[in-house]
Amino acid sequence: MQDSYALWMYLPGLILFIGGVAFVILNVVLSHLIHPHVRTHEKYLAYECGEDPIGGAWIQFNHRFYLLALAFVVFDVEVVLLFPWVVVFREFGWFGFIEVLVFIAVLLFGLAYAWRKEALVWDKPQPMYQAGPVTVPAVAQEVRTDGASS
Amino acid sequence: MVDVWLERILFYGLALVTVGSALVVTFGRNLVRSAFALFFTLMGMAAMFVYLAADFVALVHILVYIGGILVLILFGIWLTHRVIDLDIRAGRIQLIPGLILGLVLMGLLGLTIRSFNLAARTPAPYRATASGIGRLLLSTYLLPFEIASVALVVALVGAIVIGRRETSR
Repeated sequence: MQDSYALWMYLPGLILFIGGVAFVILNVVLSHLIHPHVRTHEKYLAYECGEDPIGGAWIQFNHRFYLLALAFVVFDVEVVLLFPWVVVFREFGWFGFIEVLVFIAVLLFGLAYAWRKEALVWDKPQPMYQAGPVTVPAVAQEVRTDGASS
Repeated sequence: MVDVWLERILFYGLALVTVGSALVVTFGRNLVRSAFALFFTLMGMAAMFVYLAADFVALVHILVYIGGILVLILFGIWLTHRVIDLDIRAGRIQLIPGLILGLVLMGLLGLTIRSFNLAARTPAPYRATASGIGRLLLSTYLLPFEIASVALVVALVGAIVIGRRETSR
């Protein structure tokens, strides 16, 4: 394993990054250039028996996402701090292993706290319907009795 | 010689992307667009760290700031009700204090940079820094390493406490 490197070894990363960005831009521009520009009212309607959208697409997200993202950042930083240990794992042996175990144990306490406080439980939407025996509307009952009498 | 020139051109290109996207972040009207422009700013900063021979910092920058903080910012925007339609450019309410603060900060940075004799210094050699950081973290800086985990737990518990208060209404 060599320790020194040249700046050029990062070039593939840069090319990948530029390639990724260019791919997105190229496709959007290309599709804009070659797709047919016929705008009729019918093209903007929901297809056949598709649902008509209610409101805009920019809805408010479930706030649970934020808490989960925060928890993710915490454990992200944990993983990042573990990288330097992994590189020199063999040099430090059991001593380093126990040090890192203490590090992880403290963080596991945080995870246990999150679990205990039900921060990991997802908020389920409340069902709008009432469970129980189905009540037949009065109008429908009338129709049925009419049909039975005739 | 060609190598040096290409490196220099790449550096200025990356610096242009970083500063340009930072300007979009600051002056953009749309919050979501600003957040996505921040991605390019952070990416450019990671490239600057690579140029500074700090490969581990560059990696951490991408992992934590782009992978974590930026996602957090985007969630924060999308979680906020109806903030997308808002024109959120900061007005000129604090023009004078902002100018003073910016100039003072720029002066301090300039003085700091000038206090180093950059021309007399040889550039740091490019070598992998992760193993050196690992050795120091497990020996000399063991206590800060362990305290970091405590700080992370504090952040997590604090987030849960604040988040729970929101849900209990």
